[in-house]
Amino acid sequence: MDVKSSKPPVATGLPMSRVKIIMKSSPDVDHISPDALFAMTKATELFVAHLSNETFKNNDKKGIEYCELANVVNNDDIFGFLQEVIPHKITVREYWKLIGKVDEDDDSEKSSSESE
Amino acid sequence: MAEDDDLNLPRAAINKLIKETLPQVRVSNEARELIVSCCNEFIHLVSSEANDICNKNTKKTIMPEHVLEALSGLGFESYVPECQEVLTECKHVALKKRRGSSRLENLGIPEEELLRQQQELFAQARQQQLEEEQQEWLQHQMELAKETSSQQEEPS
Repeated sequence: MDVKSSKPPVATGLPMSRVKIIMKSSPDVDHISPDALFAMTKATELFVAHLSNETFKNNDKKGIEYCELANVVNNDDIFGFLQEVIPHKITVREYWKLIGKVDEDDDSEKSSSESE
Repeated sequence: MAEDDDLNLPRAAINKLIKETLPQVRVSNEARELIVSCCNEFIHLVSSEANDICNKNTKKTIMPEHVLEALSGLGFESYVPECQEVLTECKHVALKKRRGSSRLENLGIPEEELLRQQQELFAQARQQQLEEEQQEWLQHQMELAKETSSQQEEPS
């Protein structure tokens, strides 16, 4: 492990240690310089702001809900990589239609996404 | 999901960032959780890309420029200027620290002398504290004496 656990000279809004753990859980990612970790942390902070702003702008409502995030993710190319994380929700009925009504006995009241 | 918490960014930190971006906006808990997951994906995406760039450059360690190039390549070029700015700030702060420590080295005073001076300062501080304590004790004694004499005047 190459990353020193020294305090960053400039404060970050997210903990670098946690960002490091997530980075290293990516396949093949091995050695990360402290400055690279810092850049990654900062970029993630900007990402949060960007995603929140885009969602809020595009939906023109008072709050941010799941469906609004799903909208942004599915419409905006830049957030395309999140489509598996935030697919549009469908009702159970729609799901049954999609799978050809195979499991009619499955009477769960889930309104979660099809990938789950 | 609970076990994943260690692999996720802390909710409180994300909440704070959202609040700073959209202070008056209500954000559902579900949306917040999702944003946390999105951050994970984002980090994975950029890390993988940066790793590829790093390998292409036949380097073993991912450097900040690899991360910045990855961001640009993935469509997040708008993040690059601000990231670069804070990286530069980092370097300046680090440089100042180094200059600060070398100032001490450049005083030309040998370490033994510095140690001696430090011991002297400690001794002075101890002496000062002792004197202050003595003063306090004397004052306390005087107050006690006053109380005793005033009590003696009153009928018991």
